[in-house]
Amino acid sequence: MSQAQPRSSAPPHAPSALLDRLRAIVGAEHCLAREGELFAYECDGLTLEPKRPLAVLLPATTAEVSEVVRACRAFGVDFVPRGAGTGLSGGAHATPNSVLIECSRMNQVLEVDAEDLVAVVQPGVVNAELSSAIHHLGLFYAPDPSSQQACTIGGNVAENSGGPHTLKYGTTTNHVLALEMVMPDGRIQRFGNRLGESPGPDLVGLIVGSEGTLGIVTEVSVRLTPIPEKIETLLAIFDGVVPACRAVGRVIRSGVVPAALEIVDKRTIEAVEASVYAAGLPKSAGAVLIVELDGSPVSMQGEIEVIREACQAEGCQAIEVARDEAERLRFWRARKGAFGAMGRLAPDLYVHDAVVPRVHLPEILEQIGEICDRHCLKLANVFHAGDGNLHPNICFDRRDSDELARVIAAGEEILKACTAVGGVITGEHGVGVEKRDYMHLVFGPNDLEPMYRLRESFNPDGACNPGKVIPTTRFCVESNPKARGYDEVPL
Amino acid sequence: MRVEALSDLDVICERDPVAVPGGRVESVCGPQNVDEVCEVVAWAARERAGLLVLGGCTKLGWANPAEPLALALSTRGLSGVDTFEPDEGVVHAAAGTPLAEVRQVVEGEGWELPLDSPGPNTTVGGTIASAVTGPRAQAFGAVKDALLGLEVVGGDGEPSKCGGRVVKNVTGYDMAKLYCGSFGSFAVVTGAWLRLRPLPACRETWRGELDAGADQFDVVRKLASRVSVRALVWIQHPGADGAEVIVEFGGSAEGVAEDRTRLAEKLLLEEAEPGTVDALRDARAVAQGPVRFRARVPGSRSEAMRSAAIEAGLEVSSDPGLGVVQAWGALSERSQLVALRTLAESEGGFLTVETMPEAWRGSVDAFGPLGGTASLVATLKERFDPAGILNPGRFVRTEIREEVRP
Repeated sequence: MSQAQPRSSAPPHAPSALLDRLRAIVGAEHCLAREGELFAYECDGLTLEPKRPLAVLLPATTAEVSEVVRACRAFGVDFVPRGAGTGLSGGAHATPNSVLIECSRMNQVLEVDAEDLVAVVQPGVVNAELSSAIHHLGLFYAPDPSSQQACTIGGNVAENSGGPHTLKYGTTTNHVLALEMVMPDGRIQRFGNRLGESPGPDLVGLIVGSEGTLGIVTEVSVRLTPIPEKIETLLAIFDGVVPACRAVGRVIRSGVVPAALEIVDKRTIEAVEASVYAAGLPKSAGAVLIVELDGSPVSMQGEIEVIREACQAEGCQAIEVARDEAERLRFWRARKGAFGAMGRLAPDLYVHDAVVPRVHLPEILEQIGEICDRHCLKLANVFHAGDGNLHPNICFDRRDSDELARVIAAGEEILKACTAVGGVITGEHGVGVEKRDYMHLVFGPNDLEPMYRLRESFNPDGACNPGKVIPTTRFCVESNPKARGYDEVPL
Repeated sequence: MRVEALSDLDVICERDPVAVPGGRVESVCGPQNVDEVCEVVAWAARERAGLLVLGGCTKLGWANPAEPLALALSTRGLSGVDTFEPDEGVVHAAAGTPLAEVRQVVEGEGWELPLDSPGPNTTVGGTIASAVTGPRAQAFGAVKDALLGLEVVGGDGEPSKCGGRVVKNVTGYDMAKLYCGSFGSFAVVTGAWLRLRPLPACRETWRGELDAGADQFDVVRKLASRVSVRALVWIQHPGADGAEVIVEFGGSAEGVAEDRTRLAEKLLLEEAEPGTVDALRDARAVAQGPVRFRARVPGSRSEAMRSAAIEAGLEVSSDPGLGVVQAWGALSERSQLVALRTLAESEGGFLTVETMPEAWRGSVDAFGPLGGTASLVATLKERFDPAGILNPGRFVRTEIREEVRP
């Protein structure tokens, strides 16, 4: 990344016989191979290190996906599945000699079973649109990544996406019951059932979060959740993030399990308040904690009091309970508008993702602040405090190569600080290519070996999304992250 | 210490033959730490000696019999809760730790272990390997949901870990999903980080009786989805007109009171002992009968499964909120069992046989078909246990896969 290039240098080309074959499978208009068409597909939400695919295929059916995969295999070309391209770790980046298979045309909700709370969807269904489609039944799809207006269920399955409400409802893996997948050899295989439990190992659970390296998911059966009878949203204002984190610790200890516990820091509040997302927060706010409770109306008042006491015990300036839906949405604007508002701070934003045991939140936030200060970087924190899932966002300008180098150095120090207290390097964005070479911070060679064996069992010659998640060479223990591109190491 | 021969394992082995389902083993090894587990597994891999992995021995009769076997490895020597963080709601326990011990440690600090595996001696490792749940699964979720991280020893005798101790994590493949529920086929679990739940402020258990008709079952099933219902068990004897329903509530006092009132509108309730659900769960896991099985189907289809089991003359203990039907008793023909499994599968579920006459074992698999994933599972077995020594045959069966259909 230190030599980040805005564009790939020598555009590779697909064999014309392969392109002919692919056009015959998906139709010429759904096989993109011209330079102008490929430009938009050079990266996903990780905009550093873009890579040009040989072609982008937009299949409409499982059979087409299978045929595309078989054609690629016949020509010795790799393939990378892609959803909406909102991923933040480069999981959908093309690799050398690969095509992208994008599932956006497979966007139908195939079945909704309101009695047994199951929906069967194609991978290109947009996350938020699924919840909209079942709202009239009093149901919703619980995982709600911040990109839910754009990201797709297939991408969510690949990344095991989380979101603000995973504290109570779990991540994507807790909501996926069954899958249909095109295996890396082109076979079509079904996994799981509508119960979310099958005898033996949980193969569905192995595939969820495997970042598209075990196959291409072409149909997903998901668990639906009844919309809670009552939702209460509280907003507490603190002098800074540390007391807000301590309040989170008190809530976790209290026995109340909120649906969401989110913290937004001062710099983010300032950016939000100066933007169209302004939530009307006071200038004195050093951090806000958003707490959402849901469930039975009769239990709600008692839980609100528990939250109020926890926040007051940590000296919150004020705490408000949303009086109506409009106010509830206003509170959430401070959180959900954060990423958009940060565009005001700098041209680029490095959205980091790490998790620490929640008891370590106060100290780790101080450390992260110190790391960024030392590197003279502008830091803004917006995070899922209830899960211990940090998102230190570093504002920068990639045209300033010195600043970019400092961003990388600080990012690495942040990961090391998190793992030093028992944390991990990603909670919901995935490893992809971004963090693949940091896996050694969490796992030793012995721990990675079973992961290689798993991948080889599904994807024996690595043609499906090569070079993602685990280091490309088995015994690379301490590599120099980012010093080499993933295309420079033989697979 | 490098183990060259079985005699080198003497320090960690009892040299007395022990009868186990399907045969006997010559020795039981009781490693006291992970290094010793590695030594035993590595020796077995070199010698191609089948290894039966034991926890609390509460589910030894379940799954298919392991064969061929040379020795058993008991994880009971790996015992104890070594880390408990009440401010974090997570606990780490060695595999051989009885669940009861973990519960005792965490409940004093207001936390609950969301594992509901039956049996008084059931261990953390055995619960993970069997992925067995109980009636509280509707509140607790599956065993896999409680696993934050695992330490295991693979079929080559190498230790590894996966996951972590944090409550949200996508760092690498979710390997715990492979080890959980596979009856020790891919690795020996040696320790686990587990996620806890807050103990509910209010817990109550109630008992009621009602007519054992299909309509009543459906009414009860719908009530089982109330927020504070942690467990709801429907108990029915073949030939009886009535059924008994046991409900355990948990939550705020107000929430419990509200849901109890809703249930009381449908059936007459009387308060029961707090441990009633545990006693039912443990009893049905060891209920005697030439046949015992657990079927699970979508909730809306559980009535069909319940009535079929009753018509076959079996005792039924069902968790309608989960679509689980546990049944036991005598079946005169193997084909009756196969027909019940076929029904479960046609309703979109499965049927796991826990006990059956020895003569049926050759043609009826404990787990049933694997839905076209059998060859992938066999590939995984080859990669994770190349010598094929970990619980050979218990879950991954190569010789007997097909069963006779009526």
